[in-house]
Amino acid sequence: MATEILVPQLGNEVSEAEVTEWAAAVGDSVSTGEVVVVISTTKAALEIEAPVDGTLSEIRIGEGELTEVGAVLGVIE
Amino acid sequence: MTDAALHRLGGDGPDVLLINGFGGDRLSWLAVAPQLFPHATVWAAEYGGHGAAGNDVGDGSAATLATAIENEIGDRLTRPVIVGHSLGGALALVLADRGVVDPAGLVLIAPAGVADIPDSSFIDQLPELVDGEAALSLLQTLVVRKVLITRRMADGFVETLAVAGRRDALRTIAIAVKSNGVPLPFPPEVPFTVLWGASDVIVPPPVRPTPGLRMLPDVGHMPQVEAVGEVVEAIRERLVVSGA
Repeated sequence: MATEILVPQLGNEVSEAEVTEWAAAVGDSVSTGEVVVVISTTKAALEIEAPVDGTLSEIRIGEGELTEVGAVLGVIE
Repeated sequence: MTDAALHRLGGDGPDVLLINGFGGDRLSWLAVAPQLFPHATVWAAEYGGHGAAGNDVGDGSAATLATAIENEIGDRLTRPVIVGHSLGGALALVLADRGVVDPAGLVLIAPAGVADIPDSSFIDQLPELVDGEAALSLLQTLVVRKVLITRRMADGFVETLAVAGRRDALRTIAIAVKSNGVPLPFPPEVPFTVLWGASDVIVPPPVRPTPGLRMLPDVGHMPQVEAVGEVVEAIRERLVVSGA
């Protein structure tokens, strides 16, 4: 089953963030709670953890790209 | 009158008031605040020289900055849990000691005014930054995991310093912080939790016994960025224990 890694709610004033770094590559095994990607705004960064155990099967937003709250960063299967 | 600003960030429930550290602003709580929205009405106070507040900081002392926050709050908040980071932690202690805001509890994150600051180079250098490269180098001393401070953030911070009067406001506060030699007391009547990054080099963890202290391994001066889960948990516990 595929589980999407989403850009979380960042508050009322922030609607977009940049993908700073992927801590896992496609094909890597990841565990629940493990940091898989770091996103940032001009003010703060946020480490996003894997929501489930599995394999990172897809990266949809690459490092250095801007994305929006709610967007799918990647997929774990 | 010295400046402060109060922002309602979101959420619904008992009041939580976040106070940023030196050089930060309401958006410093980006990772923490949304996780509190299901449980609390989350506010952020910015004192003079920071964020949307003006640059009148008076003598820059914690007492003066706290008064500005009190004036801004007025009767808009009811027995908030106050969460203060670094200098914001010192302001939380002053607010609790006075009792005007009447906090239900405190969460103090690496609070200034409690432990010695053996090296003031961070607060001395911050107002003087003029380029992104130097800003990046300095700001990365805040964290253990350097990836959490980006060049984009550093450039953004330097831009904020271009606002007329901002550098002088920060300089005034920095001088006041360094001249405050008396440790702030923990409030006897207000329940509190203290969080500290074990690898904090800006305000190193206290050597003397500190009640309510939770040390966070492999975390620097920004637990609200590097240990978000622990910070949120501590705030939620304080909301529950305080019955706020």
